[in-house]
This record gives sequence, structure tokens and C-alpha cells, in this order.
Amino acid sequence: MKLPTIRLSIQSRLLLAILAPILLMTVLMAVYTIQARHNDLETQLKIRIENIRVYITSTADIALYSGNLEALNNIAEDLFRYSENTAIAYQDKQGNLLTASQHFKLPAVSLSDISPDVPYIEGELYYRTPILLSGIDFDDYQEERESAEEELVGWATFTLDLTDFNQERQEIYLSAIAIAIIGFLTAIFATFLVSQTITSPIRQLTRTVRTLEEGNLEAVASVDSNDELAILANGINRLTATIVEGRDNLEQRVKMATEQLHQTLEHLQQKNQEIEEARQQSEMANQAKSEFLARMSHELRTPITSIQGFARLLNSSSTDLDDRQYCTVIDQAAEQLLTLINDILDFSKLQSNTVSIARKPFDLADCVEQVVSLFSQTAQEKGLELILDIDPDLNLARIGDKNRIRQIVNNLLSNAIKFTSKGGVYVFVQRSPTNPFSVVLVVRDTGIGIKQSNRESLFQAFSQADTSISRQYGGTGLGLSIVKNLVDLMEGAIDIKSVWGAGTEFSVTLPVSEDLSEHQWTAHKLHALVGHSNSYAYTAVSHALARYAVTTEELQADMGNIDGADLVIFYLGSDCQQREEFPEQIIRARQLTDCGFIVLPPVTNLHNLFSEQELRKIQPAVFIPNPPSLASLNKAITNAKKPAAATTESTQRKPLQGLNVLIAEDNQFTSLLLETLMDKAGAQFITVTNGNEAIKITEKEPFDILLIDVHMPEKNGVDTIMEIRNGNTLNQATPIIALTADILLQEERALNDIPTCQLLLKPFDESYLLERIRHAVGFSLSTPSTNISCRESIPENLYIEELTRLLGEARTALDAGNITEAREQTHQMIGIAGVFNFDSLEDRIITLHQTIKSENTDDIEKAVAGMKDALLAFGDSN
Amino acid sequence: MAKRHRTLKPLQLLLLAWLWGICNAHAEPPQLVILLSSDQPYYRQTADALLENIDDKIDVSHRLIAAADFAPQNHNNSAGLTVAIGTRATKKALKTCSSKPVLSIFIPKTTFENIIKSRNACDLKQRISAIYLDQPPSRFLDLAQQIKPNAETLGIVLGPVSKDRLPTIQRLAEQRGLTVNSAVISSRDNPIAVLRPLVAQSDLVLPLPDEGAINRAVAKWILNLSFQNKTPVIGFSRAYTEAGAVASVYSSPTDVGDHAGQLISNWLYNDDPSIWSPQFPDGFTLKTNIIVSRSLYLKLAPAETLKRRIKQAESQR
Repeated sequence: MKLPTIRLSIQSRLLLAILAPILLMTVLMAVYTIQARHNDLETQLKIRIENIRVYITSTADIALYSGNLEALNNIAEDLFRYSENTAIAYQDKQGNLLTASQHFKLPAVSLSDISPDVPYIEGELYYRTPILLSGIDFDDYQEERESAEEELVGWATFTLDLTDFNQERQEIYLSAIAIAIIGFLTAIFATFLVSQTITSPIRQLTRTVRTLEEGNLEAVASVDSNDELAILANGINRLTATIVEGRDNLEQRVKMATEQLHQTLEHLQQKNQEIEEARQQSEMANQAKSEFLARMSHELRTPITSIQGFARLLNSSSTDLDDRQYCTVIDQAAEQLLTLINDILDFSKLQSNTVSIARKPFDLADCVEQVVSLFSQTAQEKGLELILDIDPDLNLARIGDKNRIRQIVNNLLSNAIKFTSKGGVYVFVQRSPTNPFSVVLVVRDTGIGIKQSNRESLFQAFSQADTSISRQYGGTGLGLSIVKNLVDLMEGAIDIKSVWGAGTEFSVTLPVSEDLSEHQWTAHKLHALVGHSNSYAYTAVSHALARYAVTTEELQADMGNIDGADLVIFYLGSDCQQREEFPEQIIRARQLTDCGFIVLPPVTNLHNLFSEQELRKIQPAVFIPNPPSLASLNKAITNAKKPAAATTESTQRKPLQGLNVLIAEDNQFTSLLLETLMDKAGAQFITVTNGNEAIKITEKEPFDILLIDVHMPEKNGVDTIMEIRNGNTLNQATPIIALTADILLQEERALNDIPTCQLLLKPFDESYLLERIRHAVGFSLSTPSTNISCRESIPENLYIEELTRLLGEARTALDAGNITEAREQTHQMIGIAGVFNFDSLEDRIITLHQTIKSENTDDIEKAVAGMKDALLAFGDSN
Repeated sequence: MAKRHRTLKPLQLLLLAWLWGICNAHAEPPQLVILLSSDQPYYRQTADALLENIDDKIDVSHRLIAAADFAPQNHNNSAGLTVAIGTRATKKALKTCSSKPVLSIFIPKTTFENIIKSRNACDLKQRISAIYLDQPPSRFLDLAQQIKPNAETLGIVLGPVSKDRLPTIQRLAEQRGLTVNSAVISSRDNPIAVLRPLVAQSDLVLPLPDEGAINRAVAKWILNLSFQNKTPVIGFSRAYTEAGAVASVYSSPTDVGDHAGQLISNWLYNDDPSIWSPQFPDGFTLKTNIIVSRSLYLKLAPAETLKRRIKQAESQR
């Protein structure tokens, strides 16, 4: 047990140390004195009693023996004279009272009841003693010769007044206590004086030390004695002197150090300034790099687009088989070049660490499906199965960077299709078995595989398995390097399993956390029979249907189980054209049941698979291309449950038939292009010329898709899109395609963060634009769109007039010193620059735009003049 | 046959061992077991005097044992005598049913006689004798004649125990021409009332020791009354003489020890049977109180002279 600590001063402790034993000794002495004196007093009393007893017993025996009462009274009187206030009473042997003194007071008890030879107190002291006849010793050998017993002749009881005794005893107590108190007070006083003498210099030293503690080092300890305290005081003074000296030294050193620090700080400040300047230069260089990349992107894309356009134009217009073959080669080469450019740009961005990973909610299925759908055409052309299998229990609402994931899947899928000549390519989206916050993307192919020796260099930039591959399959070797960089950037992992000659499987584990606001899946609660020629396909369709509470069963070859089905689905593999029985099988099934009917053909024109007659026999049926997206499958199920209303999209001759499109474009010429394209594609459209109008119209009317130019007056495209997404109830979730001629990195990032918003660079490819629109709205069947072109519908002079008008407005803005407005005009010129593939004119527009950005007046004037001359030249030629 | 003569049978061996033990036992000297009643010095002085008076020619061993520590079974097998000094030792020695004879010394005559009377059947087999602590009555009468030769009446103070001795005393007094006045004091009597006329009517007063009558007060009052009447008192102890008796005869430890040693020597050496008669001690001590004799106006011869005369008178009888 820990005793409580009591803090006492030295003087208090000294007083306590001295006074405690003194107090103890004083008490002990007082007790001892009282005890001793009391014993003396009692001894005196006993002696007195004994004397009286002896006197009485030695004198009264004969008188008692003879019954001489006179003699007894004489003895009592003698005793009273000898001992004042002493009285006697006599009893005979039998206890009968014989006589008593005049002063004898009989006690309350009988005299005979008083024990012999034991004092009895009752106010006074009573002592009763036997009286024996006195005698002499007469025998030499008492042990041998017994003598007769001595005879009892009576009893004497005498009293003693104890008043004096009690008074004396009280005096003893009082005097002892008084002496003890006086002694103790004297001791306190003496001790206090002594302690004062001892503690006074200690207190003085303590005050000095406290003064020193407060920082006053001038304080001096002084003690007027020559003892240990004086030594201590001298020690404190010496210590103080040492501290003062040390402090002075320290101050001097601190002063020096401060000066050095000051110099260092100045130096650091200078360095920081230099660093800041270097950083600014670096940022400027980076900015220049970004602009260079954007420019290069545009510079490279534009001619390639022209090449592709002309090649396709030739391909569609030429009847010569060789010419068409050449055109196809040119188109493929241009496509490869475009891919190469995109890869290099991406790789460049990754290398310069300018790529950041976004954390935004997105739909994982939509992200992967978009990529897969892009490759479905290629896969079908190569006769490959392309199957997308999404784990039915996987939460698809995720938080991450959908564009980078799309890029990863795109590169892996591109490689898989490139290096696979037969079999299939399978994409699996699965849960991570070890981490619930991660997803695993698996791309498996049955291609050429990778040798073990080549795997280590697989992710190195510009590296392919071996040079023969590069020669045979082409490519830059950047795809996997970009994938690896992106996966590392997302803190994921990539794993490869490959058997040379049998195929490869890439597994990418990505940490994309779940978004709690998961999509609510429609529960159809149906039972479907699936006819297929590929077990992977069956599994993928089963998984997809499971999300919509549709159970699946394989359609038996004899179709014996078709009666119990709510739905019949035919998955047509890439080899379906080689299988002669497939149309008959589908027609037979259609004839056996009138339940919902869905056909999943490979991406191609249905007329390549079915004759008009066969198509009619299959009706009513819903046709969606494989691999089907989850949304398109849901829509197909809904439509298939209404057989009467079911239609085939293949019957829609126009690709955007029935769509309501908003065109927000300030440039009249671009508007004209888009309006013409939409009209030809069968869409209804409304055109506005600025962001505010776009917002107003979207608040009133629902659209299927919004085409919005990024650079618009009053409110630019990015802000318009943000506003529509954040507050517009009618079109909050409407897919958006943003159009721009060039774009800054921050604008690109902002648009990428917006859900269901795609960015498309001007000048756009019409068929690509139509494909993107169809995909965005969930149109399922692809109709070859290359046949739709709007250019031939627009007169070239209109194009020249528009450029001339924009140049004039740019001139006006430059004259007014409004560089921004001038840049806006040239930006619009770039947007329509590539429409008619007038390269020289396009070069001048770009030069003008860049010059205005540089704000060099002389260069601007030269560029404006050059542009004007070029327009005049084109105007004259037309 | 020769072989059978050379071999001793077990029974023969046992007989030989017993005979050898008997012979050895008889070879031991007789042993005196001296029992002391307590550690009072006068018992030890008596024993010392006894041992000093054993004749050197006699081969005898002895052991001094306190009566409280006496275990008779340890001493029954040896020949000899048990000497009990004092009343307590005598009682202890007689309680053992031992065959060893007992000589009780330094014991009042009446006490010894009472012990003898109270012996049981077992004790009666034991041979016993005594040397008393008391003096023979004749010795007191001889002393009375030496103190006051012209005395005619002798006052005898008796008690319930000693009153039986009165006829003997009267006979001996008559032989010496003395008239005996006697007074028997009982516990119920007022001793002063009994003593006062006896003392007044006698030339000499002789109180005899009696545990039923003589106590410290009676002894004092005898002295007080004798002083008042100028009548000398003959005492029976040194203490009484010092208290006020004019002269006393009594036996000291040495007197009794000497007498016992002589009797034992004679018994052991000469097989003298006189030891087996209980008897008064031959030796005695005489003490006078000169101051008292002066107060009573008596002329006393020195104590040694008086003793010699008494011895002489005893020897002439």
C-alpha cells in the first residue's frame, strides 16, 4: 500500500523530528512520575494500615480475650490521637459488635461481610483484621513438634479517611501534567529557535535558487556562517558564474549560428526561386509538349482520316476488284497508323507521368462491353468467337477510372484478336477470389501463344515476342507496355498464362471499390432454352440472363424440352455460316413454340445470314448482335415477351431511325454537316447554337442523344454538359457525345469524368460517329454505315464561304485586340477544316490558329494574309 | 561313559550360577539407608553426627536419601538398617512393607507411639525402634532440684496428650520430696484462669510439650504469670529458655545422632539388641537464662555444672 506523500518544509520536518521524541519522552516521563508517586502514596497508605493493624492486634488481644470494653475504648482513643480520623469497631469471635469509636461510621454492608485483611472502600477505607492472642516462639524443631493453634479472640475493623490520600493523588496528577506541559512548551520554543537558526540560511539559499530559476543570474547566495551551508552557497555562486559564462558563450554561438542560418535561408530562397523558375519553365515545356501532342494528334489524324475516307470512297465506288483490294489495304494501313499514333501518344503520356487515375462511379459492364463491341466486327471477319462472360454475382457499380480500364481491355483484346487466327477470344469479368474490392479481367485467346523465353520482355516498350511476329502481325509493341503501366498506376496486378501454339490468357486484377448505389436489375423470372454451338457462349448467356432472374437450359437437339420454355435464345457462333442446318433449326424452333424468340447473330448484316424468306419464317423474333450487352439483352427480353410487337432491327434501313437528337453547334457549317448526317441516318434533330440554348431545350424536351460542341459562345460545351448532368431532370442520363477540333488535357479529364459522355475529335468520321451514337443509345444491330455520307450533299462553295466568314470575324477580333475571340474563330475553322480534304487550306487554318495562340502580331498578320489568299484561290477555282 | 562325565547339563549350569550369585550377595557390606524428613539443617546435622559415631571397624555403606525421593524396592535386597530421621521419614520408612529393620530417631515420643499404634498388618512384620527427641521426666526433675533445691511444690502444665505422663512424674517427684500441682489445659479453657492459681501455688513450673494445649500464647502467659509470681519456669527447648524460662534441658541433633551411631555400631559389630528398645537420648543439652535467674533472684550454677550434676545423678541411678 502506498502512503500518501505529505510535502513539508525543512523547518517543519526538523520540528517534527525533534518534537516527536520529546513529546513521547515527556508523556512517558509524566506517566512514569505519576505511576511512581502513586505507588509511593499507596505504599505509605499500606504501611500506615499495617502499623495500625499491628498496633491493634498487639494491644487489643487481651482486652478482647477478657471482654474489657474500657480497655478497648482506650486503645481506640490512643489510636485516634496517633492517627487522626481513625476509628475502630470491635467484634467478638462470633462477629457480634462489642464496641466502636465515637467517629466510627458503620458501612452499608455488615462488618462481618468485609473480607479480612483486604481494604474495603465505601467513602472511607475500612480494614477488618482478626485479633489473635499473641505469643512467643518456644520450640526449636517446629517441624517435629506441633503446637496448639493460636486462638482467635475477635475482630477489629478500623477506618481511614482517604480525603488526604485522594487530594494528594490529585496533586500528583496535576503537578506531573503541569510539569510535562511546561517542559513540552519549553522544548517547542527551544526547538523552534534552533530550527530557525538552521533553516533560515536554507530558506535564503532557496530564495536565491528560485531567483536564479526565474532567469536572474545576477542573484548571489550569501550565508552568514562557516558551515556546510556556506560551502553550498559558494557552490551555487560558482555554478551560477559557470552558467552565466556558458550562457554568454551559447548566446554568442547562437548568434553566429543564426547568422549562418540566415545566410543559408537566403541561399535556399535563391535556390527555391531558381527551382520555381525551373518549374515554371518545366510547366511551360510540359504545356508546350501537351499542345505539341494535341497538335501532332490532329496533324496526324487529319491526313489519315483523309486517306481512309478516300480509300473507302474508292472502295465503294470502284467496280474493279483489284482496286477495291488496294483500297482495303490502304484503309487497313491507315487504321494501323492511327492505332500506332494513339499508342505512341498514350505511351508518351504514361512516360511523362501526366496520366492520373480518376476515382469516379462507373458501370463496369458498360465499360467492358463498349470495348468488346468495337472488336466484334473484326472478330467476325476473322471467323473468331468473341465472347464476353460477366460473373453474375459481381457488383458492376464500381468506383475507378473507366477510360483507363477501357484502354487496358482494348489493348489486351486488340492483341488477342491480332494473334488469334482460329478459335476464339474470351473475355471474363470476375470477382477477385482474395479481395472483394478488386475485379479480375481475363482475356483468353486460342492464338499463337507466347514462348517462355519471351515473357520477360513482354511488357517492355517497343518489344514483341520476336521479330518474326512484328513482321507477320505488325504493331508497335506498345500495347502491353501501356497495359502494364496503367495496371501499375492503378496499383493492380497482371498475370500471364500461355502455351506456345495453344493460346494465352492475361489476368488483370484491378482494385476498383464497389459503389454502394448498385444497379437494380429487372427480375423477369423466366425460363429460357439456349441453342448454341459453343459452351462458353452458353455459360456467358446464362450468366447474363441470371442477372435478370432468367433461368437457362440447353435446347435439346430434338427440341423435346421446348414446350416448357418462356424464351428461346439462339446464339449463332462465328461458324454459323458454315453450318448449313442453322437456319432450318431456328425456323423449326419458331414453328414449335410461340414464346419469346431471341437470335444472337455475329455482327454482320442479317441478310448475309438469312434470306428474306427465312427471316419472315423466324418472325416474330428479336435480333441482337453477339456478344450482347446486358442492357441490350434486357431490352431484347422485354421485347421478346411481346411477340406481336417484336420487330427486327434489321428491318430498319436507317441506322438512327426514330432517335431524337440535339445538335448544339455554333458553327453553321458543322451544324449543316451534322444535320445532313442525322437526316440521312433517319434521326429527328433540333439544332441550337450555344450552351444556354442547349440547356433550355433539354429542360423541355427529352432526347435520345446530345451532340454538343466543346467550344461554343456564351457557355462552352464542358460547362453545358456539366449543367445538364447535374440538374436537368429530363436529360440527366441522356448519352452525350462531345465534339471538338482540339482539346486541352484538363478539358479531356473533365469530360471523361462525366458518366455516359464520350469525346469525339473533329473532323469526325461519319460512320464512326453513327456507330458511337448507336452504341450509346443501345441500338443493337449494326447496319453498315459507310454508305451514309453527307459531304456530297454539301456544296463546296458553302464550305469556302463559311471559312471566309470565320476568317473575317477572326480579323475583326484581332483588330479589336481580342485574341481569345480570334482563337475561338480559328478553332471553329479547324472544326470544319478537314471536311473536303483541302490539305493546303487545312494547313493554313492550323498555322493561323497556332500563330494566334502565340500572340506574335507579325506572324498573325502573315498567317491571316496567307489564309485570305488561300480562300480567294479556292473561291476562284470553284 | 567318559564323555558323559565331562559334559555339564543345563540344569547343573543354572544351579552353579545361582550359588555364585548368593555368595557374591553375602559378600556385600551391610548398608545404612538414612532417610531425612526434609532439608532442615537439624536433620542433616543428626545424620552427620550418626555417621561420625559409626565405628571405623565396621564395614558398612550408607546412603542419604530425602524421604520424598525414597523408593524402598531399590534397597530391600541389601542387608542393613533404615534410619529414619524425623516424623516424616519414619512414616515413609514404615509404609514400604519392607523386611529391613527401621530405627526412628529425632522423633517425639508421643508421635512415635501414635505411629506404632496405627501400623497395619504388613508393617507389623517390620522390626522397629526409636530414639526420642523428648527428655525423660527424671531429667526435668533433676534440673528442678538443681535450680531451686529447696522447692517443695512443682507445678506441671499438661495437655490432653501429655496428661498420661502425670502418674510417672508424680512418682518420680515423690522420690525427690516434691509435691506435684498439675493443670491440664484444654482448648475450651481460658488458659489464664487455669494457669494463674497453678503458678501462684508452685515453687517451680514445668510445662510439658503438648500439641493440644501448649501454644505460643499459653507459653507466653506461663512466663508472664511466673514473672508476676517470681516462680521459675523449667523449659524444654533452647527457644523457650531464650524467651524467658530460667533453664531448659533438650536434645540437640548431635545428642541424638551420637546416641544413634553408638547403638547402630553396637548392633552391627556386637549384634547388641539394645537398639531395638525405644529410648530417650542419652545425651542432652542444658541451657540457662542468666538474666531471668537474676530477675527471679536465683543463683544458678553454670550450665555445664548443672549438666554434669544431672548426668552424675542419672549415672548413679
